[in-house]
Amino acid sequence: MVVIKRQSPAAPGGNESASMEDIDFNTIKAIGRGDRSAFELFVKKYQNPVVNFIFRYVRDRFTAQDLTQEVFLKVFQGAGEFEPRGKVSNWVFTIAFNLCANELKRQKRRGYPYPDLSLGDPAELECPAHDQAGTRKKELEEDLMAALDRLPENQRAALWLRVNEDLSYLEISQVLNISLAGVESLIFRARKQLRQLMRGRNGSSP
Amino acid sequence: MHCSKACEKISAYLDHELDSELSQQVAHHIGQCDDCREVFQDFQKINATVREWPKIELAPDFARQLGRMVEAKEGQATGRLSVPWPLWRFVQSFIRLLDATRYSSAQTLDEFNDFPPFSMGYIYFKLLDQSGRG
Ligand SMILES: [Zn+2]
Repeated sequence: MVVIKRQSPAAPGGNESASMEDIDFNTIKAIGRGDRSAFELFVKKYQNPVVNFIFRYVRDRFTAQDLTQEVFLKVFQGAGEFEPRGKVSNWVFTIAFNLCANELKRQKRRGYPYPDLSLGDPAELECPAHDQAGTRKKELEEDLMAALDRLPENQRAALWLRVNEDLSYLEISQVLNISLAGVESLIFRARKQLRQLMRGRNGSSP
Repeated sequence: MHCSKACEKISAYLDHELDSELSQQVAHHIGQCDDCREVFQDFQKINATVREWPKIELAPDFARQLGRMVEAKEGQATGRLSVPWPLWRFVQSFIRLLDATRYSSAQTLDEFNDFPPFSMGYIYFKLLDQSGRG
């Protein structure tokens, strides 16, 4: 599993440093010159983060694979004109996000059956008591996982980028093209909704 | 700090996204308030679940395939041949199939290239040949 190089914990106000990712900048420059092996190395580094970010959006494995391919072709095409304003990884996620947004628009236009994204009333999610705490815990984890997939797509994506890719709120705001406060709100709402489910299942809602 | 305010900031606190003053206030509140501490701990558990979110993986030779595609596309851009993108997706599956042929023998593919002009087969071999030489 390829992991995106991590920055030290985001400073308040999230000051971006380009120097942290010089390796990626050099790679992008090489790709811009048409260096195929640099391109392949770059793809190897980012293919898993990208395909899983997209998968969080489109929730279909094959669509995610196709879109990932398109992301890297766009990277190849755009590498020559890339301007080092932010991190290279942000640029890649932004390309992925734009493709996802288009794909979701296209799906909605075509009237693809879209699953209900609401989590429902937490009170309704209460289950009969089980004998074993272990069983209940496992079921709760499964329910939480299912609930994650039912969050609105931007909440899923923001939570994923924060927790699994360690992007700062500022970086997420650039990828999703929303305000900083918007990112905070997306992630907070996602967690609040998931917590309601946890508490509902435990039967000890405050 | 009141619970309502603290509760709203616990998520950002967990993500180290608060300035130091606000961060200290939330930390202090969590230390004293059972309800808000419970929220914080629940959010930590949710993070653990998010980390377990099932991941997918691409084929091991995904990068190599893409490398070959861009090489072929480069040939297309500089060459005389113009192939629309949807056709590329189609052609790509052939490239995968014929990989072995292309890499095991250095000789040109002309011997196979007896398709009528501008048929699918003609275009494919033309591209393959170009990218092989590029
Ligand atoms: Zn409190």
